[in-house]
Amino acid sequence: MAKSQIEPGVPITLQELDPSSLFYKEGVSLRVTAMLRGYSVETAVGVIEDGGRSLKINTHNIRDVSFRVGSIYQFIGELHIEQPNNEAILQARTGRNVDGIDMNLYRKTIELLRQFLKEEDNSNMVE
Amino acid sequence: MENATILTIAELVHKGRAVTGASSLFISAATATPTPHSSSDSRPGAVDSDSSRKFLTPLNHPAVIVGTLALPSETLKCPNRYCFRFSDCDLTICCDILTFEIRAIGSKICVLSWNFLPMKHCCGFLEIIKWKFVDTDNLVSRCSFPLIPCLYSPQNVDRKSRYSVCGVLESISPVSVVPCQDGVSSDSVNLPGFLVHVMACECKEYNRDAIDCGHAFEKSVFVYLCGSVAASWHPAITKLVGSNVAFSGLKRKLVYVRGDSLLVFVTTENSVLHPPWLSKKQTVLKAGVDRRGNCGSYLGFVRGLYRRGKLVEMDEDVWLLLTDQIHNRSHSIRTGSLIFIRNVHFVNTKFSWGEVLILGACFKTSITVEFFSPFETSCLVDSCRQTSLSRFIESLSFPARFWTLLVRSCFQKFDGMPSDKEILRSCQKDELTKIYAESRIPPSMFQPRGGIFTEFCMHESCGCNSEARDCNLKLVMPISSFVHHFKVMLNELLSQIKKDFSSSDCLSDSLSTWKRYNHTNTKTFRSEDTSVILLGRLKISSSGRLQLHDRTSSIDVLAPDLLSDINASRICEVSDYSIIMEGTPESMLHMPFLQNPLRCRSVVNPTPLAIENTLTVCFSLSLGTASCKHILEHHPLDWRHDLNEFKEGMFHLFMVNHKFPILKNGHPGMPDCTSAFIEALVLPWELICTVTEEDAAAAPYFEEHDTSQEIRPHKRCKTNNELERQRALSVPHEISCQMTIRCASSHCLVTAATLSNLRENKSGNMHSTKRVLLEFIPECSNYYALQIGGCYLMKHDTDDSFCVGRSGISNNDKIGFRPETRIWSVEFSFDEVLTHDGSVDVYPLVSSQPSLAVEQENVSSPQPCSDVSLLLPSDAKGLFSVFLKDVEEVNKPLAAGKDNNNIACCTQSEKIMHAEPSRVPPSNSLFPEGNLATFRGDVVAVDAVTSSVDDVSSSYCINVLVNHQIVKIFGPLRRHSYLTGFGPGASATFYRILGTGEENRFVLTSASFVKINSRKALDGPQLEKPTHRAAMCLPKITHQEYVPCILAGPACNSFSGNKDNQQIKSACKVLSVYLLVLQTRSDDLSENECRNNIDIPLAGFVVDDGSSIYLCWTSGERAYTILRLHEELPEEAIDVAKWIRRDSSRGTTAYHLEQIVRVHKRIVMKCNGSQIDALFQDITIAVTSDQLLTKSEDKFLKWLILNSIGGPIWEVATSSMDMKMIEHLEREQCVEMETSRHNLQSVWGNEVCQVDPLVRAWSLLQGLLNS
Repeated sequence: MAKSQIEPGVPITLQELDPSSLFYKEGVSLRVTAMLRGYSVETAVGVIEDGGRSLKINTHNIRDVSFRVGSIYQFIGELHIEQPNNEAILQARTGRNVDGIDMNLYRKTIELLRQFLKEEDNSNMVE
Repeated sequence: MENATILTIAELVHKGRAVTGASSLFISAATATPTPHSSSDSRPGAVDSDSSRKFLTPLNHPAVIVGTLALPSETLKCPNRYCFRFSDCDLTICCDILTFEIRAIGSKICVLSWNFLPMKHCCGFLEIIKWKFVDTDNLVSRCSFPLIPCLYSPQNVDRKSRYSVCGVLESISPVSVVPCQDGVSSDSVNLPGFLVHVMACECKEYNRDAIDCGHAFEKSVFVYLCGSVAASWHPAITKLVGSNVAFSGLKRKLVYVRGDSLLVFVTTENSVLHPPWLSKKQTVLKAGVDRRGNCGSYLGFVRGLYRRGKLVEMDEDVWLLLTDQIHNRSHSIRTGSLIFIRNVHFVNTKFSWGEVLILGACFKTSITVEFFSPFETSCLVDSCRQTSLSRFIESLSFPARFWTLLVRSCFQKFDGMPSDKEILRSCQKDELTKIYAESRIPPSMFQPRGGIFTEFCMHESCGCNSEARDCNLKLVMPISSFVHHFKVMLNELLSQIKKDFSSSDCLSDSLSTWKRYNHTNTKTFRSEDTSVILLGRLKISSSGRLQLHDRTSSIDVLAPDLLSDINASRICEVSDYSIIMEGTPESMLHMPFLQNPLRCRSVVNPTPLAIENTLTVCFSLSLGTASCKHILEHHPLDWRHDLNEFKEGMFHLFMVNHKFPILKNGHPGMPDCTSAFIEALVLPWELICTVTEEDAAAAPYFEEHDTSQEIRPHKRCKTNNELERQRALSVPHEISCQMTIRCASSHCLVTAATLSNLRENKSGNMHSTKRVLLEFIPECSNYYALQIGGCYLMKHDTDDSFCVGRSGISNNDKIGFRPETRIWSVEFSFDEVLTHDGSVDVYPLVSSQPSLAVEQENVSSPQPCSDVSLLLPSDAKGLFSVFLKDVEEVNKPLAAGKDNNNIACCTQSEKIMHAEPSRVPPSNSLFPEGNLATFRGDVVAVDAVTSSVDDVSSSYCINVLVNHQIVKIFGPLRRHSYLTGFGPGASATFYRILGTGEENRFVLTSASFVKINSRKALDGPQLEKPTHRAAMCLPKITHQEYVPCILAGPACNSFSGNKDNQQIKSACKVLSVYLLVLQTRSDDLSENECRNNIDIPLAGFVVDDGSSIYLCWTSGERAYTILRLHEELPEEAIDVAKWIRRDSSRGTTAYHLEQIVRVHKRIVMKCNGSQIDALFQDITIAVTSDQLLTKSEDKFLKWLILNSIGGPIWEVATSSMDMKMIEHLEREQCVEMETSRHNLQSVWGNEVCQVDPLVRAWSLLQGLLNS
């Protein structure tokens, strides 16, 4: 299970994280950005929500980030699927407060970035 | 001596010749007394042996003059006012006397040895060298001389006038006039008088017998000799300075000088002067130089008098300044006389060109002549006229006075007016000098004057002592002296070479090498090395070359970016240039030049000594636009006048397509042609300018202003009413635009204008762009001002060159251009649709258009700043594309085939900024066959060849480095047939060069034009050895070009190729502050209350735009913004700034900074450490005030830098800066930037605004999505 290499966190939006998507797999490295809806100090698990979808974040590896419900946070980590009910939780490697971010712009940026990477991939393959 | 004839003054005056009655006497009567002749002989070389200097004609027989010596009086009209008089029975003249005795006044004396000099103002001047009393028997040994003769004064002994003063006469003031009330008539009278300073003894009573018993002359006492009769004693008492005197019958007065009371003894009717006695202690020795502190005495020969005696040359680099108008100097201060100057200021000044000892005369200074000059030189005559210049000079410190007088000598060389208006001309020059000096002399070199009483009595405290020792003013030189200086230098070097290579064949070898390459061997000196400024007018010589003229001489000028507003009738200041010496022997190039110090003598006396010129070296200057300024540019009157040269009306619009070289010096097979030709495209557009009322008010004297409305030259011109209507209907061929007229660097006028398309205009004859040939007669400097690719405006008038004698312009017309025609350069910019951040994008006219040919031309002609810029609405771009199509059509027959593409290939570096990256240049062949090409490159070498390329006989081959490839250009290039300064090291643009069949081989044709863009200094010992000529082929890359285009980011690319000062906008963050100059805006305390009182004349920020790091220079408000001075002082700064945070209402950073700047006047902060890492900066802070920077101030200033680093992202509109600009800034701010030390590109920040990252991100995204 343990990966020999840490993959880069692929930026995604929470809307894309549905059980049918490519990213909804055990151990996938992701970068998620959304508003913190709830946070439990005992379990160090928070819930972020964006566009009607939410995701649990396990933050017990994160230091020096103060969690405030209502603020927007960005986390990079690996997805863990809890088997009984197929529920996803992100084991956050790192996180930060990104208050002030324009989520619409961010979504569009992600699209552009993917488009660019795809083109880049294609050209690499040609060579 | 018995056989000596007695001459009368009338006889001498009648002859009107300068004669000496000295030598004739000395032959007969050998005397032990030193004579002027023997004294000058005893110090050979003290007076330099100028061949133009003539000894006074000796009389061929011994002759004596008998007459009476008298004190000055009003009856003798002498400009110096206080001269001794000498009269025989029927005539009185001015005189000066050696071995003076008070007893001689009023006595009949026999003058045994004398000089007579005729003078314009009074009849003549007698110098009495040796004399004796005629009547020795009657001569009583008088021991007292009443200052006012008895017949004036009733002998009532006043109780008040019982004081006496006895002591050593230290100094004497000049005679000044004090207005006071006449006791009898209560009228205001001007009472002359003068002050003497005596170191006196405290004893109350003057007792001659008690003189040598224990008097201590320690008390400083001032005696005021008041009244016209007492004042007449001035010349006599001047002679007594340094000896013991006593005054009795004085009264005491308390005088208030600058709030302090001072006890002064004032003479009365009963005052008596007691002549000097010889004290046992006193042994007067006149040492050559005696200095005590700042003041001292100096004994020396006068080597020259300049500027009406204001500037006296003493010894090598020792100059006496007699600038105060009030001084009463003796006529006998002549070239060749030995003078003793007492109480003179010794100001050792380090100018940028060398060190000069200035002897500054103040009110305490007195000069006595020790030996009269044996030469026939003119007498010193004080000019009574007090001009604004002399008043200005008096308000300066001594070094600045000296510099101003030197400048005045240079202005003397211009003659703008007929010689009969001498006074008017002199006034004009004075005024010019004053304006020029005012603009150059820093405020610290001005000193307030306190008047004669203050400066004499409170000499030490009134600031007379504080002198600036270092002076960064540059020497202003006449051209002839300047060239002469270098000629002397070359000659010295040549003799040095001759000495070194004693074997003759070695020398001949080196000289033959010189012959071979004499057209290429240039030696360059930068203006920084010489520190010389030249003043002159830019004119075109009869040979068709651009030259800088002053009255002494002229010098060829290479000015690639000559502005069109350079006017031949106005004086330019050339401060930043290289002097190029072409044709120096090869061997000389590698010799270190001896830097001879520049002599001020050559400035004031510009007749160069004839030197044997063994070399035929051509001197020329290479200069840029920034270095050539009209000296009156900042004069308020002038800019108004300048502005109004651009009057309202209609203007033709044309674009320069090609310049044909001047063929005067002969191309083989071409007839000599005196005219120069320019190919221009006359655009079917016309600019209609309506001048604002404010502008009209500024020019009440222009008559044409009214008439131009009435005289309508052509039918196609519309009246204003029609215009208004058309504008209202928004007819598409009319574009209203905003026009900015640049007059001087700091003045601009923004007004509305209209561009009207003639194509749509049915009444006009011109429907499309026409290509015409403009003919320039040789006197026309416009030829040089016009740049290929530039757009220009010309006034539409009935008799303008485009309209006169023709109904319309058709293709290939030849149009004569008159020299008086005024043209203005114009640039276009488009007001883009406002984006989110509200910025206005500025585009050059053609860059976004598909025409590559035009694009290339535009890039290759740097247009540093245009006279007029038009801001057009963005939709006008579409209309302009029509015009661009026209341009393309017209250009087609010229540039056949694939020419356009090739041009694009050649200028790869330039192309990057405009052309799409997908266009890859064909790599196999740089240039195809038989096509005309235009490219830019560095001239590496010019070799002499004798070959024939493509049937064009060539004598020279120019190796040019274009894009790291050597391109060979063959041609019959003759010296100066192209441009001054052409040779290795020049960066040149070659227009219309014919490509040959071979790769990288071109031929210059008679239509080819070579423009020199810049010149690199190719001198110094680091140059390759002569044996390694091949090394010359190595590319010489300047700093600016050494920007790796591929690696560096977009900003870098644009800057390196962008030499025409286009603005580039980029968003960047401040990484560190490299340099920061802070100073107070005004010394007025009341103004300090307002917020923005800090002036930031220069600030350099190291910024990062995400792709590259560069140095962004800026000033004023922009620097203010980047430093975040307007922001509230953040919490974390409070603990460092607690001490000043008393008033919480004034919490901005600026407020606190202001407190510091106010104390220290000027603060220069410089970061010497790493440019990029802010944390490890080694910051040095220098302040102008003599107060030390406190720890908290130091902390605050360092915090300021950190604060700006933590600032937001700024959007900065920048334009590129070249080394010249940086050097100019360095000089202006007197700071060393050492920009060369780090490899950062320097740019100038024109606009700064804070970027809203969100808005910027959205607009970026939009741009990306659209692409």
